[in-house]
Formats: sequence, C-alpha cells, structure tokens
Amino acid sequence: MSTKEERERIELLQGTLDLLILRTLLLGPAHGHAIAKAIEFKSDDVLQVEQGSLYPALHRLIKRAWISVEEGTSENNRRAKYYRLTAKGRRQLELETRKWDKLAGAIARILRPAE
Amino acid sequence: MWRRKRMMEELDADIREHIETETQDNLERGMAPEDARHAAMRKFGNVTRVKEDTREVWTIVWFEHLIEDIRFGLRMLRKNPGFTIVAVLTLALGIGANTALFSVVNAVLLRPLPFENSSRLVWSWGNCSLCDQAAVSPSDFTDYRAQSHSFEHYGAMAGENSLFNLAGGDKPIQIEGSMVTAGFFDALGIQPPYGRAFELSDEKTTDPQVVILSHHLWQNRFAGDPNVIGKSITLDDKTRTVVGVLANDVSVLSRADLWFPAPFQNQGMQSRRSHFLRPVGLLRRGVTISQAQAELDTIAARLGREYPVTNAGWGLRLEPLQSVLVGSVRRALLVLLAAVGLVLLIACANVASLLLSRNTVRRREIVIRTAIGAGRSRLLRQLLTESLLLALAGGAAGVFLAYAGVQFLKGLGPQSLPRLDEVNVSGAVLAFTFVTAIFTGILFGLGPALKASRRDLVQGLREGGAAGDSRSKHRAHGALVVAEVALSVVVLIASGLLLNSFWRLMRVHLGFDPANLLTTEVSLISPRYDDDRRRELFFHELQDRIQSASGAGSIGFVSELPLSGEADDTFFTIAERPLANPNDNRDADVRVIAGDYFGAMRIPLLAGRAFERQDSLESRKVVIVNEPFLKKFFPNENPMGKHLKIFEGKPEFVAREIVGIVGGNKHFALQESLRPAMFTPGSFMRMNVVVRSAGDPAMLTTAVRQAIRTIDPDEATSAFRTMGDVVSTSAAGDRFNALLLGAFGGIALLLTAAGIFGVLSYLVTQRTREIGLRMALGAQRPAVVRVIVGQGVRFALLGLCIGVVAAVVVTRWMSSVLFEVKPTDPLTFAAVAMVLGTVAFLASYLPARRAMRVDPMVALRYE
Repeated sequence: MSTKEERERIELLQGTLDLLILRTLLLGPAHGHAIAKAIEFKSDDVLQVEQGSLYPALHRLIKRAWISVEEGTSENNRRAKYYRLTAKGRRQLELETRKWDKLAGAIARILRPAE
Repeated sequence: MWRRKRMMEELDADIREHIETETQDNLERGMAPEDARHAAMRKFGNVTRVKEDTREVWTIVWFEHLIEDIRFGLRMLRKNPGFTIVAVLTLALGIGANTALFSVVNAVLLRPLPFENSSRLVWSWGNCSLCDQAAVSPSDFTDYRAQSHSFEHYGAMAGENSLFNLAGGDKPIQIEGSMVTAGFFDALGIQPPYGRAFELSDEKTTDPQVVILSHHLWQNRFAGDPNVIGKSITLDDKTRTVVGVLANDVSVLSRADLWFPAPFQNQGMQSRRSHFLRPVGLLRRGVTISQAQAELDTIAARLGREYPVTNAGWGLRLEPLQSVLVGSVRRALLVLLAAVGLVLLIACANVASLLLSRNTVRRREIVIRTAIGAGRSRLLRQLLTESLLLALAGGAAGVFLAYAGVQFLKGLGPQSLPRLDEVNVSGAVLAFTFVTAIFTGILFGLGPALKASRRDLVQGLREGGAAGDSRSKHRAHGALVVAEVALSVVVLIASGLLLNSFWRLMRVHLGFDPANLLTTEVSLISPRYDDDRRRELFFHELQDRIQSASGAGSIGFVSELPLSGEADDTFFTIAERPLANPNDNRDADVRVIAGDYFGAMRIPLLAGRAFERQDSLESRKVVIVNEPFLKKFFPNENPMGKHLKIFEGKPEFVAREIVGIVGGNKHFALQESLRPAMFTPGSFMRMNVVVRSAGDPAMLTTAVRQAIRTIDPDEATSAFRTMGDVVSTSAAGDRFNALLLGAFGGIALLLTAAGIFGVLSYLVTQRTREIGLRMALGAQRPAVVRVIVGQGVRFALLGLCIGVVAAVVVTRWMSSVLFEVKPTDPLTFAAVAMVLGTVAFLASYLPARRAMRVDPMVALRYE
C-alpha cells in the first residue's frame, strides 16, 4: 500500500469506516474522539477521517447491536460516551475482516498480476 | 423508537464534546485559541450534515430490520407449509366471516343513507293513545307543513303506491305510482337532472296533471331520453305531462315507477280522519330533533283544540330516518356481529396454540439466536412479524372468502333487511379487514412470542430442545383450550337459541293452512271497473270459471293477504254500546273478502255463517269478526246480531250486523299474537286470489290465468305464489339470522374441535417418552388412553362451565330476537353441552389412540 512519504490521502470505501471502528474497539472501549485519533494514528495519517462522519457510523453500529454505549469520563475528566464492542460485533468484525482480506487480495492480484 | 429519539437528543452533546476535545488537543499543540477552534471545526466537517446522516441511519436501520424480519419470517413460514396453511386457513375463516358480516353491518347500519344531509332527515309517525306508528291525514300534514319552522323542507309520500296502466309501446304496462307532496324530493336533497321537482302549484288541483319518472322507468321505457321532459304520457286513459326524471332511484323508501303530486283540492285530500301520508322532513341546520318535536307538539295541541273530533289526542312523533329504516334489524345484526367476533377469538386461540407448539419445536433456534446476542425485544419483534405475516395472509385469503360470502348473503338476503343491495366489499370494509388482521396478529402472536423470548438461556440450552417438559408450558396450552371451549359454548348457545326459536316459528299455529294454496293478485284498474257491481260480478265469474276449469277446491278473494305485508285497519264503534265520548273510537284490522275465502284458507267458522253472494250483491250490511276480536271487544258476551259501526272511508260510519265468528290468524308476522279483525263482503279493485288445490298448487296456474283472460283479455296477470312461499318470505329475516348464526356456531365448533385435537396431539408428542416409560413399566394401553382423553375432557369441562356462565350473562341481550324461547332455555344449554362434550371426547380420543400405539422401545430411543 501507500507509504508515509507519499502522503496521499485516501477516501474511505463505503462501509470501511465501520470495519475500522470495530477493529479499533477490539482493543477496548473508547470514546468518539479517541476512536477518530486512533484511526488517524494507526494508518499513519493516510486515512484521514472527516471526524464528523464517525457519528453516523457509530449510530449504525449501535443500531445493529455490534457496539454498545456506556457513560464514562474522558482523560480530561469530562463526561463522555464510551463505545464497546459486543459479542455480535466481534463476530461481525471477524466476518468483515475475512471478507476484506479476500477482496484486497483479489484486487491486488488483478492490479499486479506479475507479483 | 424511543431509543432512536434519545440517541438523537444526546448527539448534540456528543458532537460538542468531540470538538471541545479536539480544540483542547490543538491548544496543547500550541495553536492560538481562535485557530485551535477553527481547525477542530474544520476537521469535524459539516455538523448539520452529520446530524442528518445520523438520523438517516436510524431510519434506514429500522427499515432494514423490518425487511430482514419479513424475509426471515417468510422463510420460516415456507419451511413449515403444513403449519402455515392450517394457520392461514383458520385465520381466513375467522377474518373472512367477520369481513362479510361487517360489510353488511357497514352498508345497513353504519353508512349514511344515500341522501344529502341524511343526518338531518327525520320521519314523522302519527301518534295517538292507541298507536305510535300511524300515518298522517292530508289536512293535518298541510297544517304541520305550513305552521312549523323547524324544517328546511317538509314533504310526504303516500303510505301505499297506486297502480296505473301506462300506455305506449306494444301494449300497456302496469306500473306503480307514488303520491308525494311538494317538498318531498327537496327534503331528500334530490334534484332531477332534467326537469324539476314538484312545487306547491302542482298540488293546487283535484287531479294531478304532472309526473316525475323514476330512474328505471325513464331508462327502460324512455331510453333515458332527456327530451322526455314536457312530453305527455297516458296513464289510465288520462294525459299527464312529464316534468322531471330522477338520476337515482330512492329504493330504500319506495319502489315506485313514477311519482305524482298530491292533489290537495281533491275531496279525498280534505280529510283529517283517513291517515295515509308519511311525512319526511329535513331539519334546519342547528335545530335538534327535540326542538322540532316540541314545536310539532305545540301545533298538535292547537289542532286538537281546533278539531277535537278528529285530532284530540293525535300528534306526530319524530324519529331519525336512518333509525326508521334500519332500526328493526339493528339488534339482530349486532348479535350476529358479536357472535362472529367470538368466532375470530376462537380462531386466534387456535393459531396461538399452534404457535406455542411450534415455538417449542423452534426452541433450539430461539436459544441460539439469544446466545449470539439477539436482544429480547429484537426476538419479540421477529416473532411478532411472523404472526403479522400470518394474519395478513389470513386477512387476504379472508377477503376472498368474504367476497364469496357477501354474494351468498345477498342471494339469501331477505327483503326485511333494508339496503341489502348496497352491501359490498368496499374500501371501508377492506380497511376494517386490515385493522382486524393486524389486531388479530398481535392478539394471537404476542402471548406465544413473549413466552418464547422469556425463555431462560441456560435452561433452554440444557433442555436441548426436545422432550423437556415444564408444567407452565402445558398450562398455557390448557388455558387456550379452555378459553376456546368457553367462547365456542357462548357462540353455540346463541346459535342454538336462535335455531330453536326459528324452529318454533316455523311450527307456529298460523290460523290457516298454507299447504296446497295458490295465490296471485288481480287488479281491475280499467275505468270500466269503477262500478262496484261490475267488480263483484267479475270475481263471482272468476270463482266459477276457476272451479269448473281446474276442479280446484275452495276459491276466495281477500283485500289483504296474510303475511304478505299488506294491512289495513279502521275505526269502529259498537252500536249497542254507545261510548261516553263519541270520539273515543276503537280500532281493528279490516279486510274485504269475496268468494269462499275462509274455506280456501281453511280458517274455521266457529259460529254463525260465512258470507253469501247475496251479501255483497244486495249490499247487506253484515260483518264477520274473528275470535281475538271477540275476546277483546265482547268478553263474556254473545256478539251475534250486534252491530258494528265501521268507518269505511265515506263520511258516515256504516252499521253492520255481526253474522259469523271465525278463528284468528297470523297477519303481520309469525311472531305476533293473533290480531282482532273484521271481515266485510265486497270486492276492491285489487284483490288477492287464493285457490285451494288437491295436489301441487303450481299445477293450477295455467287454469287460473286462463280464467282471468277469458273474462277480460286486457287484464294483466301478476306472478303466482304458493302460500307456503308467502309464509317463508315473511320469515326470511328470521331464517337469515338463524342460518348465519347457525353457520357461525358450526365454524366455532369446527375450530374448537381442531383446537382440542391439535393441542392434545401436541401434548401426546411431547409426552411420548413419558408414555413409553409408563408402558415399559407395565401400564396398560386403555390406561394410557384414559390419561390422554381425561386431560382433554378436563379442559373441555372447565371451558364448558365458564362458557355456560358467560352465556347466561350474554344471551339476555338476545331476548328481543328470540321467539317463544327464553335466553336461558335449559334444553338449548343441555344440547350444546352434550354436543361440545362429544366433540371434545372425539377430538381427544384420536390423539389418545396414537399415544396407545406408542412403541415403548421406539419412544425411549427417540431421545
């Protein structure tokens, strides 16, 4: 994939954000801002999430019962919502990850048939 | 839904919090406060759009879940075609019966009358000390119309139609004309599409000059030609001008072919004594019926002072037109509606117990869904979606059943049921069906769904989805069977009572013998029969000719045939017993007869003599009275030779000597008690012919028709009926009710039998291991059968007890539709208990036989 030097920013594919959120929450519950930061940081800032778009995605995941919400306080002692992966979400993540690997592999083979 | 609302409310705070945190981060990175905030905002993006997107998420996901549930539900239903078909058919039966009956109730009771402003239309009954549904005299009517201010329009129609010969075409046809006053069509809101309605000027004549054509006459005889307005037509050799045509027929009020204005200057229209007008008024906006009634009472009191001889004690009673037209069938229809509602409840109980059984089979699936994180509400929704799908499928199938049912009901339809031609499966009816289906789906689905979703996860997994056998599960099944039996007892008792009552009605003593009796009408409307004597001779000759041509038995003629709906009554006094107040007239039915009427009808002559031809030809002043008349007016007295002064439409009363006494007979309805009646000799222009035959009365029709033609070739003959038909038509309303309620009872019984059978079969399957174990331990087969049948019979007995108590409470409501049967008729109750007991026994015995065949080895290995 891209390297840090190219500093190319990639638009997220539809549904990919959901997957990234689930993956982020696999490490433990987090609040909205922290999730956005984590995604930016982990992707070496390549994946530039417009932070607002996180919220429709979070609500979608809640509605599907893949994540749950709980009240808590953030590092700087503010009231914040923590999002936590549910059992169902964990299964979904596995499923989606497998699908993603398959897709990515397939696309890679098509784009770089020589390798 | 509430969750979505809460989430959206909190979103604002979340977004604020997020931007705040980002700003803080930026500040820590050393940005200026202003820049830090801007950067954070920029990074977050468009706040409004985020909110919109988020809201959309909830809507979409809600839909996605719904579609997912529906798709899954359909798959489950397809996977169990047996279950699905039985459930859908059961529901279709219940919902279809309700839809069909509701379409009748809707058309007859609920839908406003087919008139403009129908809620303001009121009917006026003539009201006196002895009567409350009399007609109104023409002079009284014009006074009320002139003096009252409560009505926007006040008009009237004659209570009975007149017959006319309408010339033109190949040969004249006989038509019915109805006399109406100006204001009649205006009150009903009827504007002729061509021409005009009647005006007051049309009434200022001794002989009506103009007519309005009914829609059907206009269409059939005049091809719907608008140019008919202003043309002349010939009615009974007299010329009349067509001034209007109707766009629709007012079939709820009259079946007249044409309408003519009341000629108030005619001598016959100056009377306050002969009551024959039926007034209908359109209340002014804002005037209540009681205000109008108060005003009419004042006018009535004034008229009573002004004309004490004719008007003392007389008044008008207002009643909404809707209630006049459909009031009599209201109670019967509501009883039917209640019964069919109970049938639907029974169907619900059936499907609920099917669902309970199936949810047990599906327990493993439900447990797994719970284990992988399906919340209870989600599960509940899934199960309810399935129930609603079933209910909607049942509703759709029910609409087809209802459609067929409505055709059937209309075919069956008694004339006593008004507005039957308006009955159809309309939009309102479909809406009713839809709501009923949804309600039904929730009703039968919620209980089983709650029960299934409450299942304790750990226990569910441990039970592993097979023979686990908790008492509470059986209790739910048991409760459903008990409820079903109880409901069905109520329906069956109601239908039993009605059938019993109908059976008695059919066997009621009529006072005459309807078997082998042919009847038809003869109307001597040609002007050459204006002479009384010509008419007498016509009927004498007719009697002789029929007699010699056919060898028929007795032949007679009567002005009003029993049970045909025709009736006439009049005032009289007893000459030998002058009354203190000369206006205190008595009133009784009166009929004009000729030929051997009593002989033909087999009405027994109890004393004195029957009429002879000389009585009418020589105008002897004689009268025959019947037994009820005797009991009412001459108790403990010999009436023979006494004189009755009878009002016969002429200004003077006619004194007649009582020469005979006959037995009473049913005249209006089978239910009524025998009415006092007087018979006078004579021949009206229109008479009913009754011919007693030795065999099938239909064999005589040709001879009778021939006889009429031979005497007068111009005379049109009307349809022939047997007296048996007349009687059965008069009971058509009761037959309709009895048949429908009987059918509902049958459906209830069938569903209950299926319900008991289904539940016990299920319990036997569930208890296979237990039964196998018992048998392995030496239980005898009959003992096993006893256990299973015992369980079914116990359910049935409990249901029976509850049902009987409920029926005692509920059937009181039916007393007005029952004839000679008490609402707590012990025979009916006992019969229903017997029938239900037998059915419950059989429905339990079949599953028990299956249990008996259980092979202990197979049953134990089955686990």
